[in-house]
Amino acid sequence: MKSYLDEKLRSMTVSVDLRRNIINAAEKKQDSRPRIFTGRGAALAAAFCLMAMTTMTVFAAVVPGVNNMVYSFSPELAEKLYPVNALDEDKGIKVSVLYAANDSHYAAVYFSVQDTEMLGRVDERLDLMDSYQIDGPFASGIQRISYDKDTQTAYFLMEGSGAEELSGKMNSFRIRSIMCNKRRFELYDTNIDLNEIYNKEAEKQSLEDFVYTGGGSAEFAPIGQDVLEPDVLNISLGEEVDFVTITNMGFVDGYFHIQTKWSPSFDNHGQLKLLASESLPGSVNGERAEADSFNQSFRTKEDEALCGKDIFAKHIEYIYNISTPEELKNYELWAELVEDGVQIKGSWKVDFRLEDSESILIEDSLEHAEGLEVTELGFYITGYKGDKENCSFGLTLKDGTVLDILEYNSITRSRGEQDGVFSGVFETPIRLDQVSSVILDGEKVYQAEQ
Amino acid sequence: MQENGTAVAAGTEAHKESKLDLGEMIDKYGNEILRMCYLYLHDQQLAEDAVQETYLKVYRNWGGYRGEALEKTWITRIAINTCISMRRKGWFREILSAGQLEQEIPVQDKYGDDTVIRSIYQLKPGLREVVIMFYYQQMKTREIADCLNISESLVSVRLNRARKRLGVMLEGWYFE
Repeated sequence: MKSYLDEKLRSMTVSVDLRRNIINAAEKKQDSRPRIFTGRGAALAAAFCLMAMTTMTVFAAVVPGVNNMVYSFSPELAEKLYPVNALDEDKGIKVSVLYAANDSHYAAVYFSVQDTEMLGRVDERLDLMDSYQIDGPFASGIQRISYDKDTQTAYFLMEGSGAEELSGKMNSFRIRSIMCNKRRFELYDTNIDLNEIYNKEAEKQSLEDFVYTGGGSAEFAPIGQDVLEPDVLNISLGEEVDFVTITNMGFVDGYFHIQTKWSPSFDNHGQLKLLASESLPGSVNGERAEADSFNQSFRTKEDEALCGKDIFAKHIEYIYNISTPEELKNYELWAELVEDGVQIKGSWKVDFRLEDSESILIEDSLEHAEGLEVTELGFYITGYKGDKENCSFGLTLKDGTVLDILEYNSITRSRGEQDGVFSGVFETPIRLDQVSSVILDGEKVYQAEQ
Repeated sequence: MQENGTAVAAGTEAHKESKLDLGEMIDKYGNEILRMCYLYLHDQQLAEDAVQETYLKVYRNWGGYRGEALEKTWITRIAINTCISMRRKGWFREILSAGQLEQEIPVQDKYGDDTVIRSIYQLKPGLREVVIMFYYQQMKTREIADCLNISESLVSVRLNRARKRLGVMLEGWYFE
């Protein structure tokens, strides 16, 4: 490679002027070279871009996939030929990409959804209804992270694994529908007398008789428990609750079961909890013991017939670690439920590129590690020799603010170790130009230039 | 100081009799250092600034150089750190400010097909310098580790990552 590069750059030599300027500068003479960028370099860069433009313009415009290639040598040119559309608005709902970066370990995109008409259609439980799609090399999950009621804006985080090749590549993010104004029933006492109405002759059926759609397990019972015969009872969970009913209740194989039937919806869901009665010893200060439980979801033939696009009917059976009627007497049935809201269909498409995150690389003065990289998104320690459970990492900002990992949630959302790299992802991206110093295990390992 | 840049070095007893001939140092390593800075910064003007800065540091610190490393390795270390420092100080942001593409100055591409040069430049800092020092300056991993003050194993890790990245970038050039 050296001879190839020397051949390519053979015309690049230290000129007589440069040589003289260096020597003169060493002597601190007046005619030393000004160390600022001059027009010559700009002309060269501009000329290269112009030359590229005349040959690539039509091609790039016709073939959008070429955009990423053009971006690789001229981001400015790529922007001119195929501008990034970082916001889109439809039906008075605006989607905006606020920040997108990749530090090769982790990638994050923050975006917002706002009701620009202030009609209350974007709330703190806004649901993207799994209608979104990401085209491009960036694969991620999405979670809602906050809500501003003054501007009716919900904020989301799209995050995934980072990689060097992701930087600069175009990604498109599309949303087809959103759901707002979901109705939430906060934890409430159903006032159902379990001992009075549970089915004392409950029959069971094998879960294999139905379409199993998921569920959990618990230490007290394996997954795949038999379920109650469906739809034997029809017990309401409250006057205003018309989307779910109790359809059977009884003991199966030594555990107490409550079966529910959910009418077709996009995402009605909830929990049924057995909380110890207030009169029980130990139930003080409002803290009640809760029976261990898990649930299993399945569809009967009737449920299957009612399912459609984005509409699902189901049964959910809750199984509790309560084995006798005497034990059951000590518990009350409480519920917390969420009912579908208003669906708004539309078309929102935003394009974004993951910017290469700035980073601070620290390899000197590290007593407990080989290397430390601090990016806008997190910190990554290679060859860490300290106590990982008690790793102390902190940043001091130029305004005096101290961010310390020991206050776990104050700085990081998650920590982990992979391939020998111990890392933490910041709660929100950090501007590295605001970092004054970095502290690892009590030692200052980096101090920004003043 | 004489016209050709000979200077009497200040410094330790070990270098009492050692004089820095700056002109000779420039003649000996200047072109290579300039090209190396260009590979890192991808701008000739900046590269020339970096070379000047490097040699000024060489001149100022000559007294402290005790010959532990080869002369070329020592100067390379100063040059790479100068380039890294320039990049971090945001000199690039000044260069990439608006208006450059508005200039209508037709010119030939001086270096022909510079795909390889560009690909090196596109490597993330951290990878870029190890590639330049290993492949262009033909330094050993031990020397690179000394230059950058990192472990040899980290140098190897970065070289591997850089090779993979270059392999992807250089596969199927658009001119083909």
